[in-house]
Order: sequence, then C-alpha cells, then structure tokens
Amino acid sequence: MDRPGEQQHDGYARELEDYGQALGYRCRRTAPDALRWERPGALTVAFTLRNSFIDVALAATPDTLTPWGRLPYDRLAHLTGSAPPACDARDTRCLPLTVLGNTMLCPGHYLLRLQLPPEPAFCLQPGQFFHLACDQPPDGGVPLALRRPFSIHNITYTGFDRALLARAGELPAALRDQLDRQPAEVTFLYKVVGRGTNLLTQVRTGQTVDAIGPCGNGFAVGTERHALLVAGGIGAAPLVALAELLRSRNVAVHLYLGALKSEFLVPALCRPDHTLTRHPVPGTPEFRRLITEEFAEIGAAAVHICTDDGSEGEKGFVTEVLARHLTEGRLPTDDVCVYACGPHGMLRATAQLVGRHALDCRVLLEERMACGIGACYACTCTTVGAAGTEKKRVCKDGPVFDAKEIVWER
Amino acid sequence: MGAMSTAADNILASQLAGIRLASPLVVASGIFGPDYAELVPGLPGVGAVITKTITREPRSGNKEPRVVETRAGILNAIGLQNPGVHTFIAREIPKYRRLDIPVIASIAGNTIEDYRTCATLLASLDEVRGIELNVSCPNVKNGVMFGSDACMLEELVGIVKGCMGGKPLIVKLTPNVTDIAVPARAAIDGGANAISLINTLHGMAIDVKTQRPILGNRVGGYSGIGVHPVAVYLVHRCYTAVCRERFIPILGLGGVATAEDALELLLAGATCVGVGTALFRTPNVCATIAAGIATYLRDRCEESVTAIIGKAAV
Ligand SMILES: Cc1cc2nc3c(=O)[nH]c(=O)nc-3n(C[C@H](O)[C@H](O)[C@H](O)COP(=O)(O)OP(=O)(O)OC[C@H]3O[C@@H](n4cnc5c(N)ncnc54)[C@H](O)[C@@H]3O)c2cc1C
Ligand SMILES: Cc1cc2nc3c(=O)[nH]c(=O)nc-3n(C[C@H](O)[C@H](O)[C@H](O)COP(=O)(O)O)c2cc1C
Ligand code: FES
Repeated sequence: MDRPGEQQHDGYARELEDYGQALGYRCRRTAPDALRWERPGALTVAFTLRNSFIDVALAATPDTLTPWGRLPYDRLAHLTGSAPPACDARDTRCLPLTVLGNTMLCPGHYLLRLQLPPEPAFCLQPGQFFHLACDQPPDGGVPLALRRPFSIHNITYTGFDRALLARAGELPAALRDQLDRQPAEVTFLYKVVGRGTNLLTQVRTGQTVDAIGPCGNGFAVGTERHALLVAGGIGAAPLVALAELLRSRNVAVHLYLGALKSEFLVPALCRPDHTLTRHPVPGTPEFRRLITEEFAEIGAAAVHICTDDGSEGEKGFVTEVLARHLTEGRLPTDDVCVYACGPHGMLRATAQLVGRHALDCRVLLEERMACGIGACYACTCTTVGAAGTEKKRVCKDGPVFDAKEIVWER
Repeated sequence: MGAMSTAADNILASQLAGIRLASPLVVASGIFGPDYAELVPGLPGVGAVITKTITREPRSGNKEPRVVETRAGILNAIGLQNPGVHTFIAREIPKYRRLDIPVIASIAGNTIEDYRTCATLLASLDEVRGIELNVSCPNVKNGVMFGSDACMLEELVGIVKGCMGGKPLIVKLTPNVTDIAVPARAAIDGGANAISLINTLHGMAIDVKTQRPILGNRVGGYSGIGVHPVAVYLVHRCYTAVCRERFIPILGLGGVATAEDALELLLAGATCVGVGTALFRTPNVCATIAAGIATYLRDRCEESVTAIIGKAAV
C-alpha cells in the first residue's frame, strides 16, 4: 500500500479518536501520527500510524508501552461494526524454522521451541498444528517418508507480557479481534512414541526443522462465558494456547487434567518463559500448588487433576471426575463450552458425557497423515450432518470438530 | 515453471504425448491438489500436475488408518475418496487455473460407462490438457481387473480414446502383473498416447503388538523409495519390449526422491518422470531434482533432457 499522506494520517487518527471517545476513553495526540486512549484504572492503548497499518501498544503504567499488535488500515472500519475476527486467513507455508530449544521435561516428554520469521507474520490459532519433518538426515541419507503433526502448544508474541495478557480482556472486543499479533515463537510439547518422535529428540538448538503450517482450523472460540478444558495425557499440549486465548476473551476456564501418573503432569507446567529449575518434585504439595498457580496465571479459574494411579490429584479418569462434577451440579451449565483433547477413548467418553448434559463440545482429533494440507485424504474421520455421513479430513476440515458431528467408530 | 532460470528451462523442456512441459517432472496422482502451490510458490521444477483420481460418483473411501510409514516408503489405502466428477469440476478444477502449468486429470471407474462419462466431461474442459486412466488402483474392488486383463483393457482404452476430443490419453499401469509388456501392448493397441507406470505395489503391514493389520483396509499400495528399483525395471521392460518400437512415450514413476532416481528412469526409457511420495516429506523436491538433472546434462554437454531417454535400454 502507498504511504498515506499526512492528511490521510490525520483522518485515520481522528477516526480512532472518535471511536475511543465513544468507548469512554480520553484521547490524546502524542505526535502528529500517534495517539493514546487513556482511562483511569484501564490499560492505556497507544496507536502509531505507519505505512499500511497502525502499530498498537499497551501500557499498564503510562511509561511502559509493550507492542501488542497491528491494525491494518482497511480494518479500521470494522472497529465499529460487528465484523468477524480478522485472523482467519489460512496461509499455510513450508519453511525451515530455527530451533530455539528442544529439552526434556520429564521422561519421554519434550518441549520444542521454533522461531517464526517476522515477515510475513504468521497468523496462528490455538488448535492448529504444524506438520514437522522430524529427522535431520545426513547428506545423501534416507529421510523419513512422512512428516509428523504436532499441535501448537504455545504462541509467544512479540512484546509478550503475561501480566498484560491477563488484562487483555479489558480491551474493546472489536479492537482485540481485528488486531494482527506478531507471533515470534511457537512451541510444541511432544511425547516420544515411535521412530519420528525419537528422531525429533535429536534435533539441536540452532538447527532448523522443516515445518508445514499452520495447518487445520483451530478452535473457534465462541461467546461462551465458561470453558471446560478436558485434557488426557499429551492432549494438554494444545489446551495451553487455548486457555490463554480464552483468558484474553474474559472466558472463565475450568481445567480437567488427566495423566497416567504424577510425573507426566510436568509438561503441563511448561511455558516458553518458564524456567525449568522451578519444577518441584511431582507428588509433593508444592508441585500441586505450582500447577494450579501456573494455570491460574493463564486464566484457569479452577484446576482439577487426576491420575490413573492416584499419584497426584484424584485417582481415576478425567472424564469420571468431570461426570461427577456435572452430576453434582458443581459446574455452570449455561453458556458453557467444553474443549477436549486426548486419546480417542477419552474423547468418545467426553462426547457422550456432554451429550447427556446437552453442552457444546469441541474435540481435537488425531489421525495418521500424509500431506497435512487436505489433498491426499489419508487422515479422514467419519462425520454426520444434515446430508448424512461424510468422511472429512482431520488435517483440513479439522482437527477441531463439533463433538456432535463425529461418528465414534473405533 | 515459475522460478527456474530460463537456461535450465531449455535444457529440461520436454513433451508428453504432445503436451509441452517446461520440465520432465510431473506431480503424481493422489499426492497434492491445487493448494500445493501455496506451499511451493511458483512450483519450480514442476512440468505438470496430475489430479487425484476422480470417479463418476462420489466415493467415501476406506476405513482408517489409511496410511502407514514403513522402513523404505509408505503404504496407503485411501480407497479413491473423491467428491465425484461433477463436484470436482465445479469446485476443484477452477482452483487449478492458478497453477499456470498443464493439468492432467486422472480417472477411474467400475464400469466402462463410468470411465466414458468422466473422460467426456473432463476432456471437454480447457483446464484439462490430457487424461490419465487409472486402471491399476489396487484398493478398490475390481480395480485391478481392467489393468490386468489385456482384452478388457484394450477395449476400455479404445472407448475412452473416442471421447477425448483429440486430447492425449495416458494409461497408468499396475505393477502387480506377471509381465508388464502385456497390458502395455494392449493399452497401445487400444489407442493410448502414453503409458505411465508404476502405480503402487500390493503391500501390507502388521502391528505385532495387536497382531492385526495396521491399515483399516488391511492391504494397501506400497510407494516411496523402496519401490524405485521395481519401477526402473518395469519402465525398462516396457520401453524395450513395446514402447520404443511403437514410439509411445513413458511417464516413469515410483520412488523418485533425487535427481539420480529420476535420471535412472529417463535412462531406462521414460520420457517424463513422476514424483509422488517424496513430495510429502519435501514439497519442493522437484526444484532440487530439476536442478540436479540440468547439472548432469550440462556436465555431459547434452543439450536436452530428451537426448538421454532410453540410453541404458540395451
Ligand atoms: C492434529 C494432531 C496434533 C497432534 N499433536 C500432538 C502434540 O501436540 N504432541 C504430541 O506428542 N503428539 C501429537 N500428535 C500425535 C503425533 O503426531 C504422533 O505421536 C506422532 O506422529 C508419532 O510419530 P512416531 O513416528 O514417533 O510414532 P510411530 O508410531 O512410529 O508412527 C508411525 C506413523 O503413525 C503416525 N502416528 C502415530 N501416532 C499418531 C497419532 N497419535 N496421531 C497421528 N499420527 C500418528 C505417525 O505420524 C507415523 O506416520 C498429534 C497428532 C495430530 C493428528
Ligand atoms: C497417498 C497416495 C495416494 C495415491 N493416490 C493415487 C490415485 O488417486 N490415483 C493414482 O493413479 N495413483 C495414486 N497413487 C500412486 C502414485 O500416483 C504413484 O503411482 C505411486 O505412489 C508411485 O510413485 P512414488 O513412489 O513416487 O509415490 C497414490 C499414492 C499415494 C502414496
Ligand atoms: S493428510 Fe492429506 S488430506 Fe489430511
């Protein structure tokens, strides 16, 4: 886009002023091409007009501005309307991404951090995945034939600030939804199960991992007031980014976390800015406190933990605990959406359970993949809709589906 | 062929049954659709793309899992899931326009009438430059029959040829026969303008923990690096036994992942080379392969890739 002239800048600035005032902010020009919205007790929003977009920064105190996102000029008009969130462009790319770290969190569980290029910025949604080439074959060596899909575990944005994130819900919804945020880093939490994930553990910081992504639809966060997040085992991976998104939309998160045994809960603690040295020993009260605190920080109103062997939290399956809480009326049933991710059996049980309680539920499915972009029809699942049953592609039509839509065969 | 240099263009320029290609490399059927160009902008090194196989009626395909990685390749049993020829023409074909390289439509059917309908509809489209007849998909009941029964194959090819409006017809052969020269001859007698081979080999993988086949369909088609020597042999056999003397070009494919793999097929008698499974791991592999072929040719002072076709077929 051409550089807007001074006059045009002025026009955009005035539009922003009018909009801010309508929302009850005091608007102040800090430079010819910069202005701020201020209101006592609220986050300050600072706008700087650039070539083809407006830089938006937030401040909890007037002097510490943190870059937050970009608002393209052509979306200014959407601020006052009720346009859908802008970030639904699916620009799947195939790129070598630099490894920032690949560390073991607990036996068999690793955290892989990949750097994202700044331009053009990726548009990532929790629930989407990347299709990763897991090996680094030596020259002339034989590479793995297929890539492996891994959910986005966490997204770190430029100017990432957890304290601000916790307050992002205060931003006017239309502004929040129209902002393009600049993801700087994406992390994956993976469990070693076979040949591909074993080879992935060999990848070193500074090497590159060839990644196709972002793939799939991601979680469509609705207008619900409460979210029940149900995770089984490594299924916790995609729910961390989701919890943060829900938090930024003022949705109360109730987390149900299930694992085989206590040490496998460790991955649930990790975040890109988390120092692993803070990990206390699984099974201790300190450990429990930390998990609850961590999830509280990213927005969980309540955290319920269960392990199959009872070594942490309640003994039993996460779906059994959820079932009990629902029957005992311990959870809200209005304005609730359930998000579930984990082994097939757990998802099926969750779907049946929420069906009985007539709750909305979205499930993240896994299936063996080849292309990862919807071309080969390797990764299908059976769905049922108005037109009868249909085989849909987990990689393109999913991986997130409405639980009602799925025919649970296996 | 967008991003490749023009010097490389000339040396790699090929033709497949009258379709001019900027590179001899063709994206095999069933691997990537039009969205492929999103991953690999400009599709460097790619000369043409073949669509996934289309049938007259929609097909919902096989039970999952449909794909499994083996030690030297993959097994698949997709079962020809596709939306049917009408929906395909309405929804998918327009997307191929963006690609800016020749598109060949792959078709299959259970009856001659199925083939006739698909061929007539697809060949009438400007976007479709030719048809590949899939008579060899091992995953569908009766799929093998057309490909392994020479009389039926010749009849089928003759009938389909009649509804192509003059566009080239490529017949894709199954490797799962005793002598590949027999169906190759039948296809050419029926009027095929080119032969492509190989489709996947029958294969199976068993989970030793559960003692059950892994694929939902139990058996599948084997592709990828493990099948390459089989492909080289079968291309060589087709070329020397039938295609050379009948002047029928071969689209050779099977396990191609490097320039050397592609060169082997060219030297065995292929005019063009298909790339399939390797694209899953490396979507832009055709750029590397094309560059490797060009270097090989220049090192040997060859002016065109066509000069080496069949050189090893002695
Ligand atoms: C959308 C999606 C998101 C995922 N997110 C994560 C994640 O965040 N963390 C994580 O640890 N795992 C995740 N998985 C599962 C992960 O892809 C598999 O664990 C991995 O592919 C196993 O590869 P392998 O070679 O080590 O195992 P092997 O068992 O040796 O793999 C053999 C083949 O089966 C496939 N396969 C095996 N298990 C699965 C599975 N569960 N799902 C799909 N394909 C499988 C492999 O890709 C490979 O092609 C996800 C799967 C999908 C489909
Ligand atoms: C997932 C997958 C789907 C395929 N689908 C088709 C298809 O629809 N029609 C067809 O003629 N061949 C199909 N094939 C076969 C390929 O086109 C090709 O003949 C074969 O895989 C050998 O080449 P490769 O080793 O380079 O993959 C498919 C192969 C794979 C791996
Ligand atoms: S993996 Fe190819 S369609 Fe999903």
